[in-house]
Amino acid sequence: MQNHNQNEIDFFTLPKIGEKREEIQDAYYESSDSNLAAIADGASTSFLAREWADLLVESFCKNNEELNTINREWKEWLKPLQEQWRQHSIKIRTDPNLPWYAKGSKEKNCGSATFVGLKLYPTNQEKQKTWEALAIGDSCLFQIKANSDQLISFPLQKSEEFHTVTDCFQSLPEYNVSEPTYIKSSYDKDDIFFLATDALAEWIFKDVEKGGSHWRKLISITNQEEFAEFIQQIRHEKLIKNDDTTLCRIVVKISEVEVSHNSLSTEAHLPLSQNNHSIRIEGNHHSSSQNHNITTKNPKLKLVLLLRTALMLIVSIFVVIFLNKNIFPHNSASKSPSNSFELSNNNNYSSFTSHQEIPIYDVDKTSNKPIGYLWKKQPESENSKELWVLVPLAYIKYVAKTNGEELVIPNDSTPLPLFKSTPEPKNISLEEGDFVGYLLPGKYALSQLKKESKTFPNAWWVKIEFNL
Amino acid sequence: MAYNQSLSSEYPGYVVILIDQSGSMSSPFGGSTGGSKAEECAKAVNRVIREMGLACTAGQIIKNRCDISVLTYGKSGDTAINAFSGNLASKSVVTMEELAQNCLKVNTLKMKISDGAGGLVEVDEQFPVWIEPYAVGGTPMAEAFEEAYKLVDNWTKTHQASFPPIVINITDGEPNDQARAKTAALKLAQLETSDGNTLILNSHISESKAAKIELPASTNELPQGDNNAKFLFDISSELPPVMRERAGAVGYQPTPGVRGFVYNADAETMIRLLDIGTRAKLQ
Repeated sequence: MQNHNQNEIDFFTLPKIGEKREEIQDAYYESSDSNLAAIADGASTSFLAREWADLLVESFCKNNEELNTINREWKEWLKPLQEQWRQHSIKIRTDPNLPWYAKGSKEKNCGSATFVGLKLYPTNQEKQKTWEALAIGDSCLFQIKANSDQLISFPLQKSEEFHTVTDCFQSLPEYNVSEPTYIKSSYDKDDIFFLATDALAEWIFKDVEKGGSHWRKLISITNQEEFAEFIQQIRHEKLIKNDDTTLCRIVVKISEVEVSHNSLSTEAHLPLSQNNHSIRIEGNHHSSSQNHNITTKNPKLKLVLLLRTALMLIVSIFVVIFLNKNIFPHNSASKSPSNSFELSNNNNYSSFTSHQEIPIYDVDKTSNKPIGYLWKKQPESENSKELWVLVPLAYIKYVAKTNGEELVIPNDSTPLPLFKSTPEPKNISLEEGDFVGYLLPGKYALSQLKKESKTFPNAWWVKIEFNL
Repeated sequence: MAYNQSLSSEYPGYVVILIDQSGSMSSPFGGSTGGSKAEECAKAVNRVIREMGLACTAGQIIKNRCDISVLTYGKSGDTAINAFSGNLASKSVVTMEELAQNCLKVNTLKMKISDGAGGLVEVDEQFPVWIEPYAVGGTPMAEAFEEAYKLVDNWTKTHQASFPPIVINITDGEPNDQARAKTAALKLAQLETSDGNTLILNSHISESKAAKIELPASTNELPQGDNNAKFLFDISSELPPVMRERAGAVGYQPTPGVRGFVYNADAETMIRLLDIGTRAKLQ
């Protein structure tokens, strides 16, 4: 009864802005049995870095030894790879047809790369599920434990540990200066592992450190385009460094006859080696995003999962209804029921003020539903059909297709006030007619013109066009 | 946090090299390589540009990660002019690709490296030449900083998101008007991008046989009584944390307060302090 895993391994990669895919210095590889995966980040100032990174990841995934052994004898592991690289570099340096800048120099004569590799062992006779990892530098591994808040990282623990210089594996033995680190731990079914190069790893740490769960979106990205859009968005918000960005995602899949959560919690976990650290994260949505087509032959388990999903669905609906009743906190100034807004029902707008509201529509007139309302008709002289709105930066999304931007006001957001100019909030006065109406949630094309708010951080004035 | 941006195709950096080709540069260079100061200066600027080319090359492709201008002062009266000749003479700001395709000639040095089997194999070490040595006239260093001011002012207007410009002044440090040069340098250092102020680095090429000095933190580390060194030290910027970190990775022990100043040492080392990509710790 040989248990084996059918782990799902996906790779996503995006070059730095303005550079081509072929020029990426990140390398990645997986073994044919899906139990090994590795990524390496070639230091672009070193010589033939990509070739070196490729040698490392492929060799790692084709190696049968325990990582413990490789870690102890890392110089021996590197030796044949270094020899291969050396012969290639000699060929390059003696090639008369290459330009001077492609042949390195006395100082630029060695390739460097960070590295992280994961090996998953199938469940053994004692029902233990072990994983090992080997790493050097600032490429990181993350283990997202199923059904728990735990996020384990290796070898780094926090965003401050990322610098412009890093330890690397070197492509010549005379430069063998930095040692790798090693970890051994246990996994469960439905655990997910990430291998990420430095820019993405640093961003994950920063997101977790500020209590966010934006990083979880990486769990459900299904293709290269979604990954590119995701990274472009956080690059646009200046949350992540502009660098080659690579993610390897491994979803643990086990096909076993008997799987039960109770037995897993009582078995002894293997002792953790050095550099293991857990990040406690707030958030309890983990289990709902873990239902990735579990192939199991156990009908009882299927029923349990089905009941659990149904229960969560009912709870979510209840929560959504409850939240929608209190959608506008700023109405607390006036408790009259006629002042409460319900986005789905436009009837209540007319009771807010004694003026007659003027609905405004999408510029392309694609639908009869208003995109917002103005308090009163603009004087005939002011025919410009555009107004300013102050929005958080996170609402401004980059659209790759048009290389432009659009405003996306989420459905659960309050409507946003519309202004004729861009007064700082402390200068707003209703009498002067600056504040002229509201813009409802939706998607709106944006022109280049926008201004940063002088009062609020990460808030921008953008211009919206409309039709009457 | 300032000085955080890395140099990339999307946000290229800008290096302005000012070279002193005045008459006083014809005297012998005090460092170990001999020759005249003018020859040492030309070698320095060619090596700085070469180092930038190597840093901007990933694989076999050179990327436009840094713009360059080179101004010479001394040989054209009281002005500073574009030091390039040939195709580049008419371009006040040049890209890496243009530089790579337009050197005057390539000098080759043969070098022996290990073949991994106990033997040696010969490879060519190639040194392109863009600037030839020259030594004539006075030293209008102030004018050079003022001319650099115009270039940097223009460039920063369209590159606000980039790492701030870096001005590298290669000289024997005897300007026509020291006070005016100091004022002009400090004014140049006021120009900025959103990532910080322009950095002024100085490479002092001296007749003195004093030992080389790299990245000093105070005037105490300078050769005693050398007023030129002190003057250049005073107009050299403090290195920002990112560059200190990289200095540590290439073998220096930089303390906070170190200045971008080298004395009778390789100017191109300063290029390795720029963040044009991750650097491995080699020490």
